[in-house]
Amino acid sequence: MAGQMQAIKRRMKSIDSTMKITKAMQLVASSKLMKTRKRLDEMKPYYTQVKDTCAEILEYSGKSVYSPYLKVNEEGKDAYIVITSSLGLCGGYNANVYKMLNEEVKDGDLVYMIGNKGYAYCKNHRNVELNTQWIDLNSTLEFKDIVRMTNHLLDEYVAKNIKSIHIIYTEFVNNITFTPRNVKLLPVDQSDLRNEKSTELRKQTLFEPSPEEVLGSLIPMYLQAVIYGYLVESVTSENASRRASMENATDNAQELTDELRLKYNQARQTAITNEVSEIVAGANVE
Amino acid sequence: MSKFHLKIVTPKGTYREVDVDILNIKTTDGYIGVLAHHIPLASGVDISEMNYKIDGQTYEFAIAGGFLYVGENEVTVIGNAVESPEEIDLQRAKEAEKRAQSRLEHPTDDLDIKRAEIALKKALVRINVKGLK
Repeated sequence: MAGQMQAIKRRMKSIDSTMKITKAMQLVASSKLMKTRKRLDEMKPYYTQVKDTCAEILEYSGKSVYSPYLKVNEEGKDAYIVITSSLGLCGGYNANVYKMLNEEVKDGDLVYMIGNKGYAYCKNHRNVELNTQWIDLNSTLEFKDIVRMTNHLLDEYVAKNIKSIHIIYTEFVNNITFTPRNVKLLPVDQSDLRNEKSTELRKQTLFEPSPEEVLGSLIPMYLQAVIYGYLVESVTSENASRRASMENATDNAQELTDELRLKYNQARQTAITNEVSEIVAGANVE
Repeated sequence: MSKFHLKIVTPKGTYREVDVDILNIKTTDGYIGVLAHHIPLASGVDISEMNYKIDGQTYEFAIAGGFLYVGENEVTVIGNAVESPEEIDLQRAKEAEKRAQSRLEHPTDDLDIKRAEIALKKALVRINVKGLK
């Protein structure tokens, strides 16, 4: 009897210490989530503005404008930027990205991996060319590095080493819903950016010094803004996912300790009752 | 004087949203002044000083490159970084200037020079704008 009680006690202790850890992680994730969400909200007006402006200019400049970024490359590899996490214990966040990755990325494609988890997965399960130059971006969130990465990608694109650039990221819908998405960044899909409110006047838009040069500087800016926006969004999803799964873990641990406490008390009561009846039986004999 | 709507956005969010009389800004082609009812225009913005006027009052800013788009009575400036004189850290700008200058005097490779030149330009613009106040 006492052995059973001890075993229950030991389990309760271990669950308690696990609960402390999950609780702490939940708190850390919530505070990180608040920070990245704020960043995402600040970021939003910038990247929607850049996107809208880009859309308008592409529309009014017409099809005649030549830009190496609008031209479709026939040769070269498909490049994917994949955003995963570097730390575990964040629920299905990474698994969902892998699912998307397996659907979209073919063997031999070039993958620019952000996050250690995705790197380990691809190295063990997929036969793709991995570039890990920017693997830490999900923790540093440096805009400077995004600029460097974009410049590198654009150079590769113009040099015809890659024929398309995609990004696989996790869209942040709300605190409990995240969906992985695959978006094509280059060649710029003009129909994707279209908006309807075109007027006669705007068709005479002046480009200084020339439409080519304006697009040449706008498109890199557009890519930087979009990649940065998606990165911040993915990190927000990661933190929200971690917070949710840690909350569940803490709740489950609490439930388990409650159950065990009941069992423990029952066992203790049984032991006392036994002892009492033994004493009474002993007294009766005399 | 009729006003137009000016919106300045940076990666840190919407920086200013005001109705102004005139916007003076340096495009990649040189300085221009934008008044209300300007013809639609799209252009890159140089690392430079920028200012707008509201009822005779001038507001100065330093802009670290970006993009200008003039639409129908709404003007959008997309800046990599925009700062008013109050926000500029003079100490930091001066240090950046020194660093860039020493790099230019002892260049190591090709890419370094370009970056140092940009850094120097940004620092000088900031110091200038701070001095204008």
